[in-house]
Amino acid sequence: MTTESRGELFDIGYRRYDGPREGLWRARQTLWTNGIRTALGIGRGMRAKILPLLLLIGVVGPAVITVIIASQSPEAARDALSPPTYYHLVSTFVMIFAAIVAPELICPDRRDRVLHLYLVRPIRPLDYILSRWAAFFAVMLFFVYIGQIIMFAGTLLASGDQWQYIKDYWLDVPKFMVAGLAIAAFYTTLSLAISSFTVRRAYASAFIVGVFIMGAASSGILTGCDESSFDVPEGTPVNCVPITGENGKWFALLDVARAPTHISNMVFDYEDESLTGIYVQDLPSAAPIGWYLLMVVVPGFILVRRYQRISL
Amino acid sequence: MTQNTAPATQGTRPTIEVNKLSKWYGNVVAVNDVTLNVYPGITGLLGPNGAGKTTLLHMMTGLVQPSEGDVTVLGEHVRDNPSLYRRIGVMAEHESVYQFLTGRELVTLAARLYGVPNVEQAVDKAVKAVNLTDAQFRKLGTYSRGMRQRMRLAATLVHDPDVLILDEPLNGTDPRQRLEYHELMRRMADEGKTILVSSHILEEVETLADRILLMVSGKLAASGDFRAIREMLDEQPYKVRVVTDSPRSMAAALVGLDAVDSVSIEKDGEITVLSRNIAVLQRSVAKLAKERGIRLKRVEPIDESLESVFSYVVER
Amino acid sequence: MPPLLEAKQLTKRYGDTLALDAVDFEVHEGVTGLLGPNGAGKSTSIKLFLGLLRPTSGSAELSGVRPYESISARARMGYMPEHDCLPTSTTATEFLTHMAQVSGLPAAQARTRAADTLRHVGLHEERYRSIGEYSTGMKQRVKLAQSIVHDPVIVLLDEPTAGLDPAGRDEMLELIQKIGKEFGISVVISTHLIGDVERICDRVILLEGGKVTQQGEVSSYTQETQTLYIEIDGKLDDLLAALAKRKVQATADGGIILIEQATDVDYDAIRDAIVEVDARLRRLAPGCGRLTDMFRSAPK
Repeated sequence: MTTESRGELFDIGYRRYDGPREGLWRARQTLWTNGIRTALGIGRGMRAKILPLLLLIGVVGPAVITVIIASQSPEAARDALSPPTYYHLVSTFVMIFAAIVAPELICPDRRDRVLHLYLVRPIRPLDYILSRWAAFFAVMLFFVYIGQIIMFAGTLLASGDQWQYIKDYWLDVPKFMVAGLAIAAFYTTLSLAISSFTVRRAYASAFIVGVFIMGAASSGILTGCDESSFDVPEGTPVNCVPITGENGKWFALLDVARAPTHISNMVFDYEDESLTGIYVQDLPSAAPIGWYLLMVVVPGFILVRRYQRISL
Repeated sequence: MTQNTAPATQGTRPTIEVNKLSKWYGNVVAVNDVTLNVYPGITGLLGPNGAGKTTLLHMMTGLVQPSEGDVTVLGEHVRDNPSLYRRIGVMAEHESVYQFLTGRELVTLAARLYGVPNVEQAVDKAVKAVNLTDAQFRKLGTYSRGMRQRMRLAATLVHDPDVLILDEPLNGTDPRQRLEYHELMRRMADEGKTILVSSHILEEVETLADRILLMVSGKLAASGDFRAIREMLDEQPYKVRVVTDSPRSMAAALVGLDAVDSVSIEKDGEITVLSRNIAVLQRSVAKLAKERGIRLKRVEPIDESLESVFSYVVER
Repeated sequence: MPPLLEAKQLTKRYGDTLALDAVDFEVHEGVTGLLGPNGAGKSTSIKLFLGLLRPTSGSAELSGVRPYESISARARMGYMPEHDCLPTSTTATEFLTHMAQVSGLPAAQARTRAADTLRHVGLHEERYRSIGEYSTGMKQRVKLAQSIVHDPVIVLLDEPTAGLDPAGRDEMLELIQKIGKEFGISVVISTHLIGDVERICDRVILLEGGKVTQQGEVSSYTQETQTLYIEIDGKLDDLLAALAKRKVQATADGGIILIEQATDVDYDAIRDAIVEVDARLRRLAPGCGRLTDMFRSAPK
């Protein structure tokens, strides 16, 4: 005869963990995912999603409009918005997004002192900051590429002879990818580096925007045209000499916000018609490249140092 | 295990009189119609977080205007009464101090503000009382948290006030120092001063305070000697532990008493008795044991402590 | 049994200040209290064991490994800081799952561990709300939860009852005791409250002036003494007389009667004396040491 038990009581008390324990890569991956979620406002309520949504609209909108134009006439589309000019347009949106959202990845952890909880876990400060950087970089890259992809694919499909389009314009793809990398890397590194100097997000955003504005302003002042050198009738391209003299052209580099744009122009071999663009094009090509590298490597170095020397 | 006899309060003039005191901020009633007296000696002000203790203290020290009711200290109204402040010492819960001052400078500043006649002497005495004579010339920024608290206490009593109002004065202070401050407070109370201490550390208030004031959600829920309060908590039977050499027999005898609500026998043979009439129980236990030839080894109330009283009152 | 944590001639100097002066101590399984003045000694020791600081000389080891040299040692330790340390815009569940993964648990296991741990610390539906909306008590529980979610061997808690009202303090101490006794995770609690140590610690280490002035089992300080205390209502002299009549050696101290080394015969005599005098027996119990005694025996 079998005895049937009429009830069961389960042990749901504390269990020790005998499962796998992974190393640094698990930590890096979760920090990266966490960084992306923070930047895009996932799991953080509607308010945190507004800015990413606005940016999405800002970068996709022009691309979609271009594709619509292309459906009428592909050449007109290219005239309206070519890949390099698309980057000119979109850089501003990306910059504003970086200024406001990058601090979210850096400041709250320090202000709320969550960093203390990270640093007693089996990771190094370097892992923490590199994962945060990689997360924001990935987000920036997405926003930088998505429009270009839509434009290229859309224009391709809209053109009559698609093979011909590819043969003519296939180089656009590697070019926008390289230029996009340059843009994303620049805004990511600089805004994160500046954010690491304060625990308040609002201050960080203000400093980032401040750096760009000061850069543009000082560049503008120092490279302003010396009007006494004007000798041209209206309607012709101005042959301007900066008030600081011929070598004053170098001051155009001070407009830090445009550092990646120069790289983009060089990649696309595009003639920038803005004053800053013209000046920089006059400089030896090593100049904007060197300057760009400086403006990425130095902030990167500073960012890493600030985290390695954290004292709790 | 020491007896805590509260000095009789009849006939003594209360130092602080609070009459129908209320304070509200919009819809939040922080203090709700409180009437109480504080006498010389040490009084503990207790209550869960948000009970209104700090607001009450602010009104007692004249920092906050009551919405209703009044407070008198040493027979005078507190509000806008600077000369009265000379006789009161207040230590707030906020721990920030000017980091660039030395410890001695902080106390000297307080002494001057209070108009102490012999500043150097008073400062020496105050600094000595808190055992910081060696460190007094260092900047406060270099002090540990416990040292900072001690210097603040020195600044609070440098003018030899008759009344001391202390809000969590020993936050962050180390164990040895805490014992010394208790002795310091006891000495001052014995000199006739009135000390009102707000604290969450019940085991310390139990040995230190002569009587307590217990606030719950803005109202005064209990006051006086906590043992007397315990006796008034009718609905809470006393728990008494009884240890004998024959638990079952003793338990059977105890159950027979009207005064006993329930008897339970623990694993180790110890008996826990619940009784609403502890006086009768305590009178009968030895008799019952003798009648049955049971050896009585221990009789001990286990929920008579301030901690038990606190939780019973708060949960009423 | 090898110790879990070991300080060997551990020294830490900050500029002119000597926070730890060649201290030696061991932390074994169970709940250990680290008692002492704020700042200097205690917090420095904790930071050294967590790998946040390097010693000036000597070593701090977790089962033979130094956490400031090997980051994997930190995988088996947990930490609950004294200060606020929680993000405000994530939910407890998400935060805990994330932290479990940072400690090396794979994603699926991290999720279940997080859920279980939140249940064990007493957080239920609220775990799906933003931490920013939590009360202090709930935040403390999340802080505690993140320290054990990865099933550490030992957790270090820095002033876990600071700022809590009596009810909150009781709950926290109960939780900590549960962790130490039921979960089997060793605990080190750094505190300036003797009461905390007395209530839940097995062992205590007293750090003062950068040195270990005392260490030992808490029970050795709080064990019962050989003195029996009797408290009755009034009738003190009558009881003393009744006891003397029955040949029981008794003295009075304040309102209390003390009897040294009571034998079985004495107990019966005491009982009979109480009956004879018809006294209300408030207390009949052996004296107990208090942990505060450790401050009376040690030099300052």
